[in-house]
Amino acid sequence: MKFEQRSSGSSLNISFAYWIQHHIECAKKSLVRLLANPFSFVITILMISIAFTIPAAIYVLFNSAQTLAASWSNEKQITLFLRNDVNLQSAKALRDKLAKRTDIESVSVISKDQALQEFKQQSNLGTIADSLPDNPIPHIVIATPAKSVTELSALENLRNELQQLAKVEIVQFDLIWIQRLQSMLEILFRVLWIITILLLAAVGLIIANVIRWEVASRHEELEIIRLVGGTDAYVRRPFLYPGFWLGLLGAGVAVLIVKISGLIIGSSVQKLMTVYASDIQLASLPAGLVVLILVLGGLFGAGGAWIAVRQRLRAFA
Amino acid sequence: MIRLQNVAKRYAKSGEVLAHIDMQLDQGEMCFLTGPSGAGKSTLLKLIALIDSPTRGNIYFNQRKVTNLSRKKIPHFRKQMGLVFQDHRLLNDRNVFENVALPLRITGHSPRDIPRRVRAALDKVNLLKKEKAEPISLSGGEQQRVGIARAIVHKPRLLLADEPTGNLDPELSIEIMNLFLEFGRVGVTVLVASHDMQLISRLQQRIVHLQNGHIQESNLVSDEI
Repeated sequence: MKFEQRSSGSSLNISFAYWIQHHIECAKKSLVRLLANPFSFVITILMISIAFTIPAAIYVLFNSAQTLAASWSNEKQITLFLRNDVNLQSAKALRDKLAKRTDIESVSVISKDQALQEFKQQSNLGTIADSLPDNPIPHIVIATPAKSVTELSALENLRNELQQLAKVEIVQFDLIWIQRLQSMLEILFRVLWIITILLLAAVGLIIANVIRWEVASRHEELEIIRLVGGTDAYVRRPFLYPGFWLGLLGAGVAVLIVKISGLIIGSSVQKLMTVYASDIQLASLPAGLVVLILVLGGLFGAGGAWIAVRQRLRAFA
Repeated sequence: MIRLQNVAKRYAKSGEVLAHIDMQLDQGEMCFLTGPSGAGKSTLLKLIALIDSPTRGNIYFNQRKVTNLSRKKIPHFRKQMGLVFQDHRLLNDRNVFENVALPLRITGHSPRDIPRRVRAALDKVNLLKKEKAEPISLSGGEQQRVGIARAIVHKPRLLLADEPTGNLDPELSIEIMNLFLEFGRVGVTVLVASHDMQLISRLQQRIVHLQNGHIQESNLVSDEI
């Protein structure tokens, strides 16, 4: 004789419906159980949310800094401050000469009068400028390198060449520190990864520990269910849900913390950025990342619980 | 239905508990397993219920070898048996009804079907009126009967009981044993371990006597009682 097997479609449907029902039941019951002990519930949620907040916050900062760096490096303008004795005529001649170069896209001249005017408008230092006997600003030539020139070394060469020109006093070209900023950001990005992995592991372990106690207190129930024919999955299910809830809610609180912190810091960042004449804002958590954090929360919660139950289950046949 | 072939069980601490067991239990057969405490009765039941696995030999369930059955397949096998324990093993966080319903809930019976079957099982052990009671509020005999109701609610083909009357007075013990006889009569294969020779010998059923890990005798006791 063979093992009895439920084969008819209708009973399979019933089993499936029951399976769904058991999931819903476990989800509800575990939430009620968690709420029955509000103190440890809140403590656990906060621990998990802190673990999620740290990488999320670093990500936001990283993202803002990267946008900033990108916007700065796009302004690849080379500013040539001409010698004071160079007149507007020869400044324009220089402009025409540079415009013929293939590695330069466009050149423009800002006369010393124009420059002074702009300075007065932008800096609120108009009165001081007025009090000066002479206009201290030289004529300025602004060259935009061709888009084809992207290599840092090529830009460097261009800058050096321009520096050699007799009419040029100073060449201002701030690409290097942008490059440095970007490599620093790259390091930060790797650090972010490591921190994220460590803290995700922490989330799993925190939850595994909480669930381990829960499993220990229901040890007998596990054994009996197993003895009357419960599968491992069936025994495990009531414990996966509290882990899932803790992870999900912890992640949710973390998202809130990051959002609120963003609001608090955001306005100051904006002020700072206006000083840098940039319209970059503090990045907010993108919706995709919010979803990712919540998914990871639920996943690592359930995963931690899974490990905790697995350890116990092995004790029973 | 159940066949044990040259089965031995050795524990690291207590040494060889079962030495060489050959035994067969046919479909619908009723059998008592007896012997002094420490003779290996519980161990034998545990091996059949796959709670433990033999050190040597094989166990067959319906001609199918179940020794070293994978963890995943064990539940399906267990759903076909009912287990009764000396200490009842009821869950004290739920009432009698839910305790009995447990095997049905696990196997995913339709929720409409469950009350009917639970009540039928409770009726058999004469506890229909106690379905809402907490297990802890029941007497030892009643708790044992709840345990039996749980073991039979899913209509198992094999019923295993380990000292089901161990904590009960003689009168209750007879009542419980009569329950097992009843199940035997309706075609359930029943194996009951008990050290209470006096009680068992009055039931006129097959008795397997275990001693020092060996089967001493396997006979039908046709007593004068």
